[in-house]
Amino acid sequence: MLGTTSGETGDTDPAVIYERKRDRSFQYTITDNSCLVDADEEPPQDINHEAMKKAISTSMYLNCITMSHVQYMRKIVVDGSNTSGFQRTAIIGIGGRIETGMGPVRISSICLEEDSCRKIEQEGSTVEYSLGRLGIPLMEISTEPDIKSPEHAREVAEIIGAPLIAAGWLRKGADSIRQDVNFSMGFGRVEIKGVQKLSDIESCIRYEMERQNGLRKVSEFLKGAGIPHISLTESGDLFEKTTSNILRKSMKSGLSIYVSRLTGCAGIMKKGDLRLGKELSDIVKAFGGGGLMHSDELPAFGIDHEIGPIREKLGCCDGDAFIIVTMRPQLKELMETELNSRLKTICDMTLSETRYLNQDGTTSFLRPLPGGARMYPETDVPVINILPFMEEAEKIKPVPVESVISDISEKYGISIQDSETIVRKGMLHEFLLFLEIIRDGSLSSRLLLHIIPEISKTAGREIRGEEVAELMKKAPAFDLDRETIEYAMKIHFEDNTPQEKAWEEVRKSFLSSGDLSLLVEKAASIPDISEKNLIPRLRGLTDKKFNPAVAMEMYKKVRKSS
Amino acid sequence: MSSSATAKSGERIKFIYQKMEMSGILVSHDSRQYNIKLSSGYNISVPVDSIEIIHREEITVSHHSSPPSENKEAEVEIIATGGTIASRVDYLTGAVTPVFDPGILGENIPNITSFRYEVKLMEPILSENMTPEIWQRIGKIVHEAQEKGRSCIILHGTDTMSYTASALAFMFSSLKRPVILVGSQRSSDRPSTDAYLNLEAALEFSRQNIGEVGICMHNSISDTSVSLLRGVRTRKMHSSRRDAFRSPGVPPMALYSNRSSTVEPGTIPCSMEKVSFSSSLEKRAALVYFHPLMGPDDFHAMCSGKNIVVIAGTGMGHISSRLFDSLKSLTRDGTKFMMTTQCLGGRVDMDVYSTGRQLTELGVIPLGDMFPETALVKAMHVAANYPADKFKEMMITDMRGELLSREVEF
Repeated sequence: MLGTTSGETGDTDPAVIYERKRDRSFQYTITDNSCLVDADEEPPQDINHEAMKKAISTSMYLNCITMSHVQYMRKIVVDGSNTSGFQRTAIIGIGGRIETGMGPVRISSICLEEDSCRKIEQEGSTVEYSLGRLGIPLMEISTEPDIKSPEHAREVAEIIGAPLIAAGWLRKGADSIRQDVNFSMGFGRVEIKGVQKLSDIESCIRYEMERQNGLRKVSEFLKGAGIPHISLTESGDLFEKTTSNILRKSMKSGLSIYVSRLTGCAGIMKKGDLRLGKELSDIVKAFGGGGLMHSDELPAFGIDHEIGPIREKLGCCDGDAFIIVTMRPQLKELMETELNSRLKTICDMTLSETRYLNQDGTTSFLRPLPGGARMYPETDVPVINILPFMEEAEKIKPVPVESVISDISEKYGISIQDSETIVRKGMLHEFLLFLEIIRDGSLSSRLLLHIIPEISKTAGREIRGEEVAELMKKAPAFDLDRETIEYAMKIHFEDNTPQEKAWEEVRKSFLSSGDLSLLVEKAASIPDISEKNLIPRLRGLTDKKFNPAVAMEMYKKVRKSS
Repeated sequence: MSSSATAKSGERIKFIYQKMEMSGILVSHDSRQYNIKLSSGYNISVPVDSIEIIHREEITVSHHSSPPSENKEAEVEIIATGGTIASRVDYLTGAVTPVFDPGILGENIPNITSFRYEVKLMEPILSENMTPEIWQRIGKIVHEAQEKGRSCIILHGTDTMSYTASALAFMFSSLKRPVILVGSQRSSDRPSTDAYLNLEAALEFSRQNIGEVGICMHNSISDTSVSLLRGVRTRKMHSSRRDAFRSPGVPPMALYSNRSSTVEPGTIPCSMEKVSFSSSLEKRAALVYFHPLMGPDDFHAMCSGKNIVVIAGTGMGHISSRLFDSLKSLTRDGTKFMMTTQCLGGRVDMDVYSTGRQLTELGVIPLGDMFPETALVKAMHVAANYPADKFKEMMITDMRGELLSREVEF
C-alpha cells in the first residue's frame, strides 16, 4: 500500500491522484541482492562513490556545470515501483551541450538516481515487482528540446550513450540503458518511457506522430458530430451462449461484460490512422479492466451472432459504434468517468501524458504527466561536497564516439567499418556482452552483424542479443565456435528447441575437439592426403559436423611435428 | 559580488551561477551555502560566494493545519506527544518537525469517520527527550479520559515507547477502556508510511474489551497486519523495521488485519470498577548496564545517590566480583539493587553460579525474566507507592503481566 500525501503547496500531483483512483496493492519479490534498504525497512547508507565519480565524469564529458554540492531529493512515485513511494535523485550537473550533425544540443541536467523495481506481473489490482533492480545507481541525462527529427534523436542518444557503454560503466542487461522520449507536435508533451533500443527511438517517434495526426482527425470529427457519452450497461445475458474464448475466459475469472453505444463513431474506432478504439482500450487496461473490443473490429474474436442483439439493445443506428468492456462490477463508475474523460481529452487535443512503448512498436497510456510539486529534500542523506571525488572523476573521463570506434577496432581486431556499425547502430552493449562469453572479437562482431540477422530472417522474428548471450551461457563445457553457435542458434530459435536440448543436439552432431584431433591424425596417415583434400576426406570418415578451420590447424600441427 | 546580505529564506530569486541564469526559491542559507529550490523541483546547494542574485521577490507559503476541537461525545482521545508519527515535514526545507496536524487524520485514515474522537495536543517531544514528569502528565490526561469512559490513543515516538507504556501500566491498577500507544517507523510524509495503518488499527482496538496498556505497531514488514502488544512485555527489537516491536514470551493481545480486529485469549478485559490511579514515581533510580570494563569507581559513580538501581547483568544475572565492595557499601547506605539480564531472551537465575549466589546474599533482588526497562519503571512505581518492607515482595510479584513464570516459546 502506498499512501498519497500532498506536496508542499498542498496540491496533490495528478500522477498521484491517478494512482489513488486505481487503488492497487503491491507485492515485492526479494532477490539475492536485496537488503532492508530496498524493502524500505532501513534508511539508506552512504552514496555509492563509484557511481558518484562516474556521474561527475559524465557531467564533465557533456560539458556541464558540475554542482559543487549534491543535494538528494525524494521524488514521489506511487505506482509501487519504489517501495518507499519515492525515488532518490540529485542533480550532478546542469547546462551542458554536445555537438551533433544537426547542430548543438543542450543538456539540461545529469541526475544520479536510484533505479526502480522491475515489474514482474500484474493481476487485477495486484502488481508484483522484483526488488532486484531497485537502488542500482542510475544516471538520468536530459536534453533541452533541441532535437529536430527522429533520426536526430537517435544520433543524440548514440553520442551520449556509446562512450558510457564503451567505458564499461553500464550493468549488463537488456534494460541497463533506456531512453525516455519526450515528444511534442503542439498538442502537449508526451513522454514515452522505457525505449531500450536506439532504433526504437526513431520508430516510436514516428508512431507517435502518426497517432497524434490520427487523433487530430478524430478530434475534428468529434467536434463536428459532438462527443458521444459512454454509459456502460451490464449485458452478460447477451453472451450466455457466446463462442468467444476471450469472453468465456473473462466471465469464468469473475469479470462482467458491459456494453455501450458510441453515437456516430462508426469508422473512427479503427480505420487507417483513426484509432479511437485503442485509446479507449488503453484506458480500460490502465484502470484494471479486463479489456475492450469495439464494433469496427467485429466480427472477430469469436463474436459474430451477438452483434445484432448488442446493437438492438443499445439502439444503435447505422453510424453508431459500440464497445464491449470486461471488468469487475465495482469499476463501473470509475471506468465510465475515465472513458468519457478520454473522449474529452481527445476532442480538446490535450494529449500530455506518460506513455510506454509496446513490443509491437505502438505506445500505450501509462499515467498522467507528474507535476512539479512532487519533490522534497531527502533528509536521510546529508548534502555531499563533491570536491573529494573530482580528482578521480577526471581520471576516468569517457572518450568521444569516434575514439570509441577506433579503440574497439584496434583492441578486438575487427575492421573499422564493423566497429563503426556496431557503435553507431547501438550494438556495442551486445558486442561487449558476447565478448565476455566467447572472448573472440571477430566472432562477436560476426554474430551481431551477420549470423543474428540471418537467423532472425529465417526464424521470422527479431532475435535480441541478450537471447543469444543467454543461449551461449548455457553451452556445456564444449567448444564455442562459429559452427556450434550457429547450429545451436538455428535449432533453438528456428525450431524452438529449449536451450539445453539445443546444446545436446550440438554435442550429438559435432565432433569434440578430442575426437576431431584423433580423426585428423588418422587422416594424416592416408598416403595421398594434402591440405587440398583434407576436408572432403575427413567428411568421408565421419557423419558428424566439425569446424574445418580447426581441423586444418590441427592437420598443420600434425604435419609439423612429424 | 553577491547580494546575499539582503536575500531572505522563502524568497523567490533569480540568480547567476557559473554564468547561467537560473531561478528558484531560496530555501535556507547560512554563512557558507545557499539552498535553492529550482523550478524543476530539485534543490541545489551552492556556496554563497558562487552566485549573484539579480532579482528577489517575496512569496507566501501557506500551511494548512486544522486546530484540535473538543468533542463532548468523544469515545476516544487521541493524545499527540510527538515522535515520527506526530511529525510533519516542511516540504520546502525537508526538515521533519514534531508538529501534529489533526487535519491529516481525516485525509488518510479510512475508518476514522466512524469514530467520535477528540485530539489533545501536548508540547511535541521526541522520544529520547521523554522524562518521568511527562509520563506523569500523560498519566493525568489518561486518567481524566478513563473517568469519562474514553479510550486513549497516544501518539508517541518509538525509541522510549516501552518505558512510557510500562509507566502508564503501573500507574493504573485497572483500566475501564484500552490505553494504546501508537508509533511509526516511517514518517507520514512518505507514501510508504506505517503511521496511518497503525492508527487505523489503534482506532479499531480502542473499541475492544481490553483493560490494558498496549503498544500498537506493524506485525510484519508488509502492510497486512498490526498487533497490539502488552506494554510491560514489549521491546523495540530493531532500529528501523516497521515490525520492530515484539513481546517475547507472550502473544499479541489483539490483531488487526483485513479491516477487522480480534482480541486474543489471555487479554485482561475492561474493568467495571472505579479507576485507581497513582502517578507517584521514585526518581532517584538508575539502570546500570554492566560490561567488562566497569570498575568499582564507575559503578559507584552511577549508583550513588540512588534509592533503587536495576542492573542489567550478564547471562543469568552477574556482575564482576570487583564491584562487590562498592555494592555492599551502597546497600548499607540504603540503595536497593535488582538484577535483570542484558541477554535479549531468558531470565536471571542467581542460584546456578557462585557469583549469583553471592549477589543474592548481598541483597540483590533477582527479577526473573522482567525486561530491564520495565524493571526500572516498575521499581520507580513500587518504591513510591508501597511501604519499604513490601518493596521486594512487590518487585517479584507479577503485577501487570511483566513477569512470566514459564517460558513457553521454543
